[in-house]
Amino acid sequence: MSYRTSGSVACAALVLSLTACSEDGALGQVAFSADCAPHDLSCSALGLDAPLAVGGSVHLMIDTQTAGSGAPTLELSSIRDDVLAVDGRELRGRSPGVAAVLVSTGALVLDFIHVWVEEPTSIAIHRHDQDGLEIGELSGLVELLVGDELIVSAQTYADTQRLIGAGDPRWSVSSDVVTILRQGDSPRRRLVARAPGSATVSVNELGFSSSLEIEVLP
Amino acid sequence: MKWLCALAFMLSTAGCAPDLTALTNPPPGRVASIDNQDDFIELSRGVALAFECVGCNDPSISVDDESIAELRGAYLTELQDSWSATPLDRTGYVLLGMLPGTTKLHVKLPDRENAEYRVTVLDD
Repeated sequence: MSYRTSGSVACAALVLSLTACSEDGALGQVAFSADCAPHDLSCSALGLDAPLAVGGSVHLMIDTQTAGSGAPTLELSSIRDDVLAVDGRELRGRSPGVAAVLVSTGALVLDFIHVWVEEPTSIAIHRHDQDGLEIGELSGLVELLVGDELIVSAQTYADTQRLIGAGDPRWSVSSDVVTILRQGDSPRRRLVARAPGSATVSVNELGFSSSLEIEVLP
Repeated sequence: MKWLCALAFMLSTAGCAPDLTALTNPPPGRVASIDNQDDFIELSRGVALAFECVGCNDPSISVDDESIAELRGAYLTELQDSWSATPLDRTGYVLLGMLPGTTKLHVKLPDRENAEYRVTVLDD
């Protein structure tokens, strides 16, 4: 695992390069990383350095490192479809376990990586800054002023370990005090304080739920 | 001079059974190992093991039951031995643990003794 996976801190240090942190394949001929938007720093920082949630999916980016050759036509495949399904560049967690994901060209294997899949046990609401960098878990009462914005996402966990792979989070709010806005295809949401009062923001994903109490002050 | 070296190499390897060398490690908590003493390969289900047949010339490797352990060819980029700067005859393979069970892997070489490995895929 070496320095590449020594933690999100090291990856965060690469923020300036806006490059996703990657994992070398077992043969060192392909680098694997989660396909993150250029400014999605939390996605880049976590990369593939966590198990994939059952029911979650992640788009894989592969970078061949074969000397003297550009990338040939490549195909991704999983050797255990019951654990991990591959559809194009998308990996989808199906059941707990480990499965090798192969990168092949024709009949030849160019490289592979073992991907772990784990059943999530909870989700938590995390806060992000304007650039998408994750700040941490949000809990307790959050106070906002009218017009304030809060960028949040739902993150899956298996006990204490963070999982990768977005499900299909369903966000809701108990009142018009706060409005929930999408940010394109990103799983993040922008919460905008509209009027004084209280609201509960809830999210459901992969069968788990979490909520956040918000009080908007005049 | 070259033919002398080639003759020495042939004499040193003639009659010897080939050795398979693992090129990759298993993921944590899983198994992927080759035992050339007992001609035994152990592999966890879902795990891939890359290996090469060291010094093998034109090997033919096959597995009896590919529903248990599937064999694929591997592309290896390293072409030269850093010591002698001569091209290495590297033929790589990837063995995949598909289903729990036991099968056999056969290594056939035109110029050396053949080998047969027992392959066991363990359930996870």
